[in-house]
Amino acid sequence: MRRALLALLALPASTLAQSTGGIVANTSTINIAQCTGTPNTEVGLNDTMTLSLLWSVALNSSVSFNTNGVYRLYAANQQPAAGQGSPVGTSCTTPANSSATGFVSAQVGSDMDAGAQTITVARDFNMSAVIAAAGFNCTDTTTATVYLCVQWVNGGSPDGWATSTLTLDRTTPSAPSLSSLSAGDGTLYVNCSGGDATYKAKATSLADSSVHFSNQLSSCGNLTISGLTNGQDYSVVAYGMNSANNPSLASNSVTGTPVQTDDFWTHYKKEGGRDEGGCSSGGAAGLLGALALLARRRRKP
Amino acid sequence: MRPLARSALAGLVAGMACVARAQAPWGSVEVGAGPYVPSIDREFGGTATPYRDIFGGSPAPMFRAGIAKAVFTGQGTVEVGFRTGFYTKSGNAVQSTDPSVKTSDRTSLNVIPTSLTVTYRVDQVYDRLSIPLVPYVRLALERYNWWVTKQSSWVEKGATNGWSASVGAALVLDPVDPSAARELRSEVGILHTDLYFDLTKDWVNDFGSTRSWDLSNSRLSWSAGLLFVF
Repeated sequence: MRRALLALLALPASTLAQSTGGIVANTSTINIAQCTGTPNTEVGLNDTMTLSLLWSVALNSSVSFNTNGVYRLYAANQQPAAGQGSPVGTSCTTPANSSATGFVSAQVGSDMDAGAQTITVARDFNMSAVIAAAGFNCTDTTTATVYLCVQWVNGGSPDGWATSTLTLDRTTPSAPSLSSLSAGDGTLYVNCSGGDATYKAKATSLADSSVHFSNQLSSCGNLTISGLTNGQDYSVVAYGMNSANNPSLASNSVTGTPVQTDDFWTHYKKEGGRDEGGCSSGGAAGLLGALALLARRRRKP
Repeated sequence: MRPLARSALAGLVAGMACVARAQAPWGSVEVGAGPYVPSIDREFGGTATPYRDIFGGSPAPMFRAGIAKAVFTGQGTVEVGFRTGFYTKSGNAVQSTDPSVKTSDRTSLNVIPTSLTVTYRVDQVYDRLSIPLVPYVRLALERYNWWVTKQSSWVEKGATNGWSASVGAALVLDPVDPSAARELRSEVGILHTDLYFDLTKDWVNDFGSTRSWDLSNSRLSWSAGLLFVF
């Protein structure tokens, strides 16, 4: 992220001043959980709720940056109108919220100290607050563009600004189909199919209702839920996630039971195998004896 | 001796002189592979088959690479060398309460075979008779370091010693492309490039110890590969 900003800042200062300032975010997409601010515990997803931003503001050509001003972050649900001043210093907030056009824009949080024209230590914001400022409804089922704008305000009207956009993805993928489970030692292997970006499975104990999740993989056929109790029945469902990490509804449920398993060595020993593991002394003695015999014969004239 | 026979013998001797190798070999390097099935089940005398239960009966390749130094280059070449390699076989772990049921947990047997070898190559067959086939015999002290895993975690490890005897032949490839052979000789120092095939009987059971399993190949095994004589 910082590298991208540094690349942006590598532009000549005059070019930056004449163009739009830049904002670099820790994500390009906000999903439903991030929109609502509520982690999706049902699927065991733990998306960050923090939007971390770095920026560098472009200044109105008539001013120079100083530390007396403040930064303000605005979020809007439509692209702000251009051509409002030179440069478009007030574009974040004009036109003002308008029921006629549906334009909604609001400041996110309080004014921030503006210690430098380029922010290189990320400023953090609550994602749901950003979405709320832009007037989006998290229960919608479409994707939308969130317009971000950082203003630098020194006294009166803004004299510097930086813009960027994020995608708000409120779509959900189709649920995968769980075809079978196979048992391992404290483990259930999930075999499912679907057309989603990633998959995750959840096992719920029928004995004590404890919940266990698989790793999240791009292949539905390799999900593994471990840490289970052998001999206990578990109800397993799978979820598909889209690229924004929005989960599908649960798949069909299949019940499975992990079992104690024997690896090859354990099976060999249970069958009465005589090897004791390690480097057996008898074999070592035999090998040394053979080597000594060779050495002795070699020394003979 | 009849005149015809004398002439033939004289021609053969002359031919032998013409193709006599001008340079004694330093040694050789070989890479190869062959099928391997350890005889672990042998100790049970048919009452149990733990190896077959998990890994089945099909062989998996055992890869080998070795280097040997020529210590005698008179009538043929005697080499002493060192070989190592790798073998791995994976299967499904079995259910503890019912070993006849395979589970989805994976378990594997891994072996690193190392050998100290003494090889005698009858390379005068090629050097003097121009027959591109070099028979050889080999005796080796073997040490198989092995370990068993379950779901990529170590379960047990150990080492089993033994010895082996091989007989084989190396097909000299130089006549296939003499110009390439000359380039290899002048630029890399490879005197001959051979394709070898050998049969091996091994006894890798800690010299008959009653406390060791048997990692000998379950049958008279073969291996094949490339041999570079320097």
